[in-house]
Amino acid sequence: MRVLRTGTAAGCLAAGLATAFSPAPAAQAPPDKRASIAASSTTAVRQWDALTQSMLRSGELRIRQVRDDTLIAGHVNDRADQYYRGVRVFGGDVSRQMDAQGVVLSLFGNFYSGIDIGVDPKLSADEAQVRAGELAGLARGPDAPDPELMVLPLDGGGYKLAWRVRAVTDKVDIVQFFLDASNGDVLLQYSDREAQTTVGRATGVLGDNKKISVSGSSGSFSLVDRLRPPVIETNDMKGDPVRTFNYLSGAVRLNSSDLAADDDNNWTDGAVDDAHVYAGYTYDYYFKRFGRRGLNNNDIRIRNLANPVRRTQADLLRYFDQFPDFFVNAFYAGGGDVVYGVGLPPGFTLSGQSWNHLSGALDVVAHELTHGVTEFTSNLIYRNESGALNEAFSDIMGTSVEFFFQPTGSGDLKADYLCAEDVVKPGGLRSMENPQAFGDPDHYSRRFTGTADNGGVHINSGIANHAFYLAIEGGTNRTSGLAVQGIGGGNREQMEKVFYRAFTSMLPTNATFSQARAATIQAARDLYGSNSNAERAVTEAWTAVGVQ
Amino acid sequence: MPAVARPATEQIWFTVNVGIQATNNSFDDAFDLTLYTEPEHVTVNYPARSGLLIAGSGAYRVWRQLFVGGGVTRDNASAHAQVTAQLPHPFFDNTYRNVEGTAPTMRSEVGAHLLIGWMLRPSRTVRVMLTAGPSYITTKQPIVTEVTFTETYPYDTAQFTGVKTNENWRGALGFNGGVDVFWMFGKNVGAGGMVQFTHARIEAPANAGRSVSFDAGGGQGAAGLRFFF
Repeated sequence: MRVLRTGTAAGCLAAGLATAFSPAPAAQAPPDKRASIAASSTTAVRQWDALTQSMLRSGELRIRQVRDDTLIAGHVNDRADQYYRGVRVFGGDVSRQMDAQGVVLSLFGNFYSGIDIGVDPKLSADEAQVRAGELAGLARGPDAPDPELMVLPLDGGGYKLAWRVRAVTDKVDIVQFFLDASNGDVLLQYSDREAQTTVGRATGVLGDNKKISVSGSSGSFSLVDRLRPPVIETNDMKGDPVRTFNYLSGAVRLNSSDLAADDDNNWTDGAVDDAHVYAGYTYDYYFKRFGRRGLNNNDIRIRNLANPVRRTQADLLRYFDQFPDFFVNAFYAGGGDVVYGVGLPPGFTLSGQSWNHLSGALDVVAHELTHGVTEFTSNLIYRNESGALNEAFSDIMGTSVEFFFQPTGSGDLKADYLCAEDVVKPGGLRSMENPQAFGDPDHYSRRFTGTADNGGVHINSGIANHAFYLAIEGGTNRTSGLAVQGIGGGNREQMEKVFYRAFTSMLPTNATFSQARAATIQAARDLYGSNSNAERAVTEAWTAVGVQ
Repeated sequence: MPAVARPATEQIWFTVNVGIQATNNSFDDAFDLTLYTEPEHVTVNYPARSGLLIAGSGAYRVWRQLFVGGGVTRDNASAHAQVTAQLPHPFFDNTYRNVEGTAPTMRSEVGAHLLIGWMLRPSRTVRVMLTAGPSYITTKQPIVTEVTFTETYPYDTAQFTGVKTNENWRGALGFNGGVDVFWMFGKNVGAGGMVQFTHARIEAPANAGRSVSFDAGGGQGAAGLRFFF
């Protein structure tokens, strides 16, 4: 198969035309050729339109549709289908965009050449109907649409004369069958049922009930959110750590059977539910707060993987040593993929704490997705100070998302300055208000300088976390004794924007704490002016945590 | 001249009228639909309306001045219902977008009236007919069943685009009463005016097995020709 990209050199175009439409001996060229057209330059449009006109005159192209351009007054768009000896070629068509004078401005399409097959079917249309009914498991009704005889370009090359029959199956699917017009064999079939977007109910890890945006229709729903600009999908790995690992390592691809599914749109697996819902919330937060469109600011797909193992004692004993992150961690795997560990089975603890599904905490989900934002912005190197800043930014944004969606307070589903406290109990994993409560430094002088934890990325994050906390809430740093006048919780949006701007637009990949201080101060000046409360608060905060 | 009853000589009486029907029978409706797994609250105010009335009647003298006959009225009145809706947010519980708008809800009404009349003859050329009786009034009233709207991400607002309605002819028994005053300028022809009040309580189907009740009929004033035989 040959794909031609036009709109550049005329020489290339000419070669493409000759290749696509000049008769060629079978020994010298593959039996099928597809010319993929995307012509927008004057030269390319002129040449392709000349060919189009020629094909229209010869009947190889037939106009299917002419429509006024609803976006540009006076312009007209038309579409023409390719025919071979009077039989339509599946997938062969061209669309032209014309101005008010009928001048073609651009032209897109696919033409097939090298077709050399008979067009007299041995199988009749009625026989094709019957055959489709057998395949669908339902007899075809008298008003079923007539089969259409088509030339089908085969994926493996070549062409076949086929009956195209659209049939409803006994599984309430709508399937396009392409039946070999000589013997009724299925040459191609695919579901033609367009996914419907709908809203269902979900129960989260903590038993809370909420809305969930899904795709599907009666009897078959899947966790694909199409209401938001990016596709957000959540896969239920069904306790298969090997498949999860193989996907992450690139050995296998996920498919539709991996998507979390439900029959009645009443979702009860909290692990997949929360991963899906909270990923949506996180996208909403970034959009509403910063106008950001997802992780890469271009609505890259978000793909959640939940239940990489089963939350059972058997799986814990069997897989924990090999896949500890599938239990007591959640991680951003790059490219929009996030994996959520299942925690520990009831009755098991780690360092005296119980672990529920990690996706059950909004701040955890937002934390992981923020790693994606970092990946596509400052791309802070995940070691030493830059790594600690990377972690801190995820904690800061995770906490900010909590405050955006949840009421302030303590306990489940409340916004506070603890990290993962809803699923790791008691207390969570880190505190931004008092990092020392978890053994993390609250002052630069106490920073971890060893090599463990990539140079203390989850430890030294406490310094920046605490600076963020002090800049909002104010207070006195326990180590330096320096007091900070925060901007107040009612103005937290200002500090969120200051840190977002600094961490996504200013910091270099190998940033230091000192650079983070300078960048956030500059961001505060940029956003709220010199000597603003935001600038004063963030300056005092960094000074209080010992960062100059 | 006092309206003294004189023996009627007319045996058959026909009228053809054009006028208006004026009512104050606006009505409200409120219902819930399910949208994004939550109730969508919809309220509709159907305003009172006046419309063109076409009426005709006929009666036969059965005893002295007592006439018995029937009449038909036809009324079309355009009006715009005021519609408000609280649309649940697709992502968040207890978060509503308020939309409002108007929707054309033209009502058609046909009344069939049994007339029992008593004719007065205050002068040689003037007649007064007092009428009353039962009526059967049918209406075709569009009932709002759904609000249509557009919304885009992040769905914090929505825009009202219109409504879907259910409309069927529905009828009910009621009553009528009125007076017709006319001047006979020819042997068999005259001109006159009528004032009549008709009323019935209609129950119209809405959605999901629900129905809406409203008043039909109203005050009618019309003028036209009279024929006597």
